[in-house]
Order: sequence, then C-alpha cells, then structure tokens
Amino acid sequence: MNQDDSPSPIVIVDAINHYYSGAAVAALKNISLTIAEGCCFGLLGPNGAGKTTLISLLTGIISPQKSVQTPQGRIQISGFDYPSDAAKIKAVSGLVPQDYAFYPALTGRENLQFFAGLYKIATADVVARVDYCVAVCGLENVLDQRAATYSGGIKRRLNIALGLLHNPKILYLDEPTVGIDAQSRYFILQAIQQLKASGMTIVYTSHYMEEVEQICDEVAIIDHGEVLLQAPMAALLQNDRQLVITPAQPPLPEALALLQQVGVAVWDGEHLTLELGDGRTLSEVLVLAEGAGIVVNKMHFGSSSLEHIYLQATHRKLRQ
Amino acid sequence: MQLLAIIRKELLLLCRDLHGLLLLFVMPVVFILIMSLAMKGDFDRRSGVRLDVLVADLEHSIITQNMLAKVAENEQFNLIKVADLDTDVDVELAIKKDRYSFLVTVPEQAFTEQAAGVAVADVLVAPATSPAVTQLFFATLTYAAAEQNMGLSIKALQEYSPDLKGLDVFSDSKRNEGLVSTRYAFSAKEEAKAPTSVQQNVPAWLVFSMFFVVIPLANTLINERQLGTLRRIQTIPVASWKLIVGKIIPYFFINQIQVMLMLVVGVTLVPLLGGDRLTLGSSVAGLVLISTALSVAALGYAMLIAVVSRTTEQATTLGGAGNIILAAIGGIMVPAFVMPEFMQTFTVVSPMSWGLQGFLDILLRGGGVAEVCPEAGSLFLLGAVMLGLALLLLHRHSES
Repeated sequence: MNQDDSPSPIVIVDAINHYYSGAAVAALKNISLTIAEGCCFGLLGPNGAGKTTLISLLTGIISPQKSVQTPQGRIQISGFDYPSDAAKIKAVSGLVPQDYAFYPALTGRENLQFFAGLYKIATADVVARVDYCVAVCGLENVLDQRAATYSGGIKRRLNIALGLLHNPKILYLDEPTVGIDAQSRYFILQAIQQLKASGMTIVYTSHYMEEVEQICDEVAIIDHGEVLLQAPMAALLQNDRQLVITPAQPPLPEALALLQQVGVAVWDGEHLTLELGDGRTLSEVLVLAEGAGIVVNKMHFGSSSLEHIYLQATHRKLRQ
Repeated sequence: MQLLAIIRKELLLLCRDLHGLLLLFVMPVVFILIMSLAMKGDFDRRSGVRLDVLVADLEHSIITQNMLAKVAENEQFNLIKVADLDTDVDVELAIKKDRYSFLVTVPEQAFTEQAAGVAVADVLVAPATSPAVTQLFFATLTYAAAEQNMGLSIKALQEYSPDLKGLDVFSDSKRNEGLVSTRYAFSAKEEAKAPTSVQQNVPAWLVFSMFFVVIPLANTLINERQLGTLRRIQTIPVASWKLIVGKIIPYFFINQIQVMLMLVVGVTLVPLLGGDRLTLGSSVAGLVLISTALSVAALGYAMLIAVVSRTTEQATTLGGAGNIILAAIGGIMVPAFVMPEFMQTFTVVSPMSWGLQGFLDILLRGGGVAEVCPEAGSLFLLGAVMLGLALLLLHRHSES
C-alpha cells in the first residue's frame, strides 16, 4: 500500500506488555499494532487471548505497567500519549462493553442522562445528543421504560447508545451482537456501518466471523497475548490461486497422492486446500479432483473465508 | 455536574429499591414501637416508677387505714382502692393480666380475729411481678401490720398498767430515721440516670438503622461492578473521590431523615400506642452534631464493606452480621445498664455505643454540644479513617 495514501493512524500500540498480579504468564507480550483513522478494525482471538486486556489498556480501565515495558513501549491514541494524557484519551474514546453496562432500575432516558452528566456534556447539548443516540440505536419507543424490562436486543442497543453519547472519535465495541436475534443483529450492524460512514473509528471484537468480514476494513488476530497477524481485510481474503473444497467425504490417501501431483494439496480434516500451480486451470483441477473420487459439497476460489484464516492462525486448538 | 449526576442517579436507584427503603425506614420504626412498648414495664420498674397495688379493705378500721397508710409511705407503691374502680372490673382477672402488681385483701375484723390465726392481709401477686419486688412489698406490708400489732399490744398493756401511759409506738417512728445510713460506691452522677423504655429504644434502634445503610449502599456498588457499569465509568474521566462522595451524600441525607423520623415516632406514635413520650432535650445543635458524626461513621463503615465485598451476598452477610454484633456489644439490643460491669466496659468497643451515648447525652441527660463532643469526635475520626481506607482500596482495585 502506498504510504502517502494511507490514512494516519489514530491508535498506535508499540511493544506493550502486561501482567496481571499473581499470573505467571503475560496477558500481553510485546504487542504492536496500528489502527487507521476512520476504519473499522476487527480484533479477533479466542477467549483469553488478550483482547479485553488490550481494550482495557486502550480505554484507560487499566494503566500500562511501567515496570514491564521496554524503552520503546508506548500507547498513543489520537495524538495523545498514555498515561500522561489519559483524560484526553478517555474523552475521545467510547467503550461498549460486552456486559449490559447500565442500571436496570433506571429508564433508558435516565441512564443516558446520567452518563451525559458524567461526560460533562453541556446542559444545552444533552437533549440533542440523547436524541441522536436514541435515533441511531432505535430506542424511541422504549426510552421511558425501565431498562430491566428491555429485551436482549434493546439492551444491546442501549449499551451502544451510551457509548456514543460524547461523540467519541474512536468507539470500542466488545462483542456487541452476542446473544441476540437476527433482526437485532442486522439493525446493530447497520448502525455500526452508519457510524463508520460518519467518520468514526470502530474497533470491533466478535466471535462471529461473517460479521467481521462484513463490516471490518482491517483485522488483527491475537492469541496468547501476541499479535499473530494484522492485515487489511481485502488482502487477507484475496487468494487468486487457491481452491478450498469442502468434500462430502474425507478424501482417501490415494486420492490425496493423485492430487499432490498437480500441486500442493492439504487436508485439514474438514477442508481440502489445493494450490493451483502455474498453467493449471480451475476446470482441470476440478476434473482431477472428481476423477480422484472427491464429491464436492462446497468450494471457495479466489478468496478465503476469515474463519478459515482465523482457525489456521490460532491452530484450531480448543482453549480453556 | 458529574457529582450532581451521581447523586441524582443514587437517589433514583434508592427510591426504586423497595427492600432498601423497608430496611432503612420501616424496620427501625417497627423495632422502636415493639421494643418501647414491650419493655415499658421493665424499664419503669428500673427507673423507679411506682407499682400499682389494688387494696380491698374489708375491715376498714382506723387500724387497717393506718397500716395501709404506712405501706403508701413507700414511694415504690401506688395504692388504689378496689372501691374506687368501676364496679364491672374483675380484680382477680386484672391481676392475672398484669394490669396491677398486687391485690391486697384485708378481711373483716382482721386485727380482732388474728389471735385466732387469721392473716391480717392476703396478697395476690401478678404473674409478671418480679420476686425481688414481691419480697420488698411483703416486707413493707408485714412491717406496717406488725407496727399496728405493736400499737394494739401497747394499748392493752396500758389498760393494765396506767404507768405506761404516754408510751406510743408511733412516736418512735421519727426516731427510726437515721438508724441506717446509706452510702453509694459511685457518686450519683447525671450519667447514672436510667432511661425510660422509649428513651433507650428510640436512639438505640435509630443508631442501628443508620448503620444499615451498608446494605443498599454496598449493593449498588457491587451491582455496578458486576453489571459492568463501573467498567464503563472507568473509561470516563471522573475522579474516584467524586464516585465515593456522590454515593455518600444521598445516604447522608437518608440518615438525617431517619433521625427525624425516629424522633417523631418517639414523640408522637409511641405515646399514642400507650408508651411514654420521648423527651428531646434542649440542644438542637448537639443533636445535629451527633447525628452528623454518626452518619459519617456509618457511611465510612458502609463504603469499606462495599469495597471489600465481591458479591452482594458477601456484603449482606458482612454488613448485616457486623451490624448485629456491633449492636449486641454496643448496648443497642440489651441496654448497657442491665449488663454486668465487665460487659458495660466492653460496650465502648462498638461505635454504635458512642452514637447511643451521644444521643442519650442530649435526650436523657440534657446535654449540649460540649457533652457530645467526645463521642462525635471519635465517630468523625473513625468515619474518616474508614472512608480513606475505602478510597485507597477502590483506587487500588481500579489500578489492578
């Protein structure tokens, strides 16, 4: 990518380490990544990979530990450095936690008014900000009901509305669609697209790969506290010369041996990945595969699925 | 602005917490009413209130009147003639129901017939009358009857021997004064004044209820932690002290409303239900000082419990059980003056006892600001230390 054309980074994380007290293993190990302004950035990783710790550091919930940082270790957000400019960084950041982080005994409006007060939004602007957040999240009809009475989908939407109140430059969404129905998920994804279109930078974590594929411009996969890869979504999914087949039956060893003759063939227990060598066409390879007794159930060509890449990067191991 | 938002939110949450409101306002009112009325009789006896004694004098002679007049000289007993009661009163039933402590029946010709072995008075003792009081009454009545007997004997002797004229047993009673001198091991100071039931129970349960802010206050903080709202708040530039002060201020006013409500209950509701009326003393400033100091201590305790507890169950157990232990030690549940001496000394361990003594200084002993200063100072100091500790722990938790 041409460096001159690329948007300036709004988040720079450079060589950051973090240890929880009493833990033998680092929660974050020499983490480095950048997030471009205005992009939607997917942060992926299994449970316990270090995503929440990283977001907690970026949003100021926990402070960087001086004792475990290398000399070059730093976090810079929107031009401000942690921890010296912590208050300024908090002012430009918004967090939508995975939990329903509001008061169930209060109404939606009372929750919004309370957090507006904490964000020191001027009294004259509170109504306009609340109205904007309510409109983006579709809360008009439930605003004066107690939040405890909301359905899961409405609770998620209120959770997002609260993160938007102070019009942050960067919004962290921690699994905002978990446990809700398809309609609510669609609404929330549309709302996120709308926010992204308005120029807001979005950092998005989710275990739903198709969502991340749909809305994110760039992704980073982290595991065991380390960044395994960071790449633009388009580049990550682009794969001109690879055919990924999901067969009806696992291929026999003879079939694999036959296919190895035309190029690299890898069976991972679920997918058969065939690298097309130069000069081979797709139709030729398909004929060979069918000739080897493989019945194609599903196939990908020219692009990879994010889930496939994710599982490859994290080695498919079941986590505790 | 941030502080106002936090205070408003806390008030809204508290208003919608029915259980919390019941705990803070209804529980102490119920305790005050029940305990003030239930313990009235016992406190009355301790504080020297006269016991009602019904008297049926069937002989109705000068001698029996003199005997009963002698009993009435004892200020402990209030003699009421059965004849003065309404005719439909069943006196034996009234004694059985503890409306009176004793029924004394003097039979017809009691003193003239006594030589034949007939008692000069029959005493029916009410069920709740303590054995000590019964012994005291029995001794008083026996002494009065014996005195009349002695008078009769002297009179008979005088009829046989005119030389004995002038001898009068009754004139000796003056000489009996000073036969026994009394000294007190402790000087009879104002502090030794025993409260009435309502004077003990209103401040006692008021102090108890003020410390119960620990439950709703801790629950809101723990819920914030468990729901993730605290995590969201940590992403907002707001100082830790504002979070604590914003929580404390509404509960401080709740404490002051508790004080006013309980005093009103003691002044109006308890007498309406047959108890004594609470006397308020004369120092409003002293009352404000001790209630403010007590509230600071109660809120410090509540914040500390809230910060160290991880779950609402822990907070309820720690806060609730802690309150009950402090109340048991501090003379709230059992008044300090009925405790053995070593236990009375031990009451000072409980800050509830400091608060109770402060209130009693005002309500019972007529004290003012100067008199409550030691208790108020101790409570302020304790509250400040606990709040400081809570702030420190809260800051440390958020750091880790």
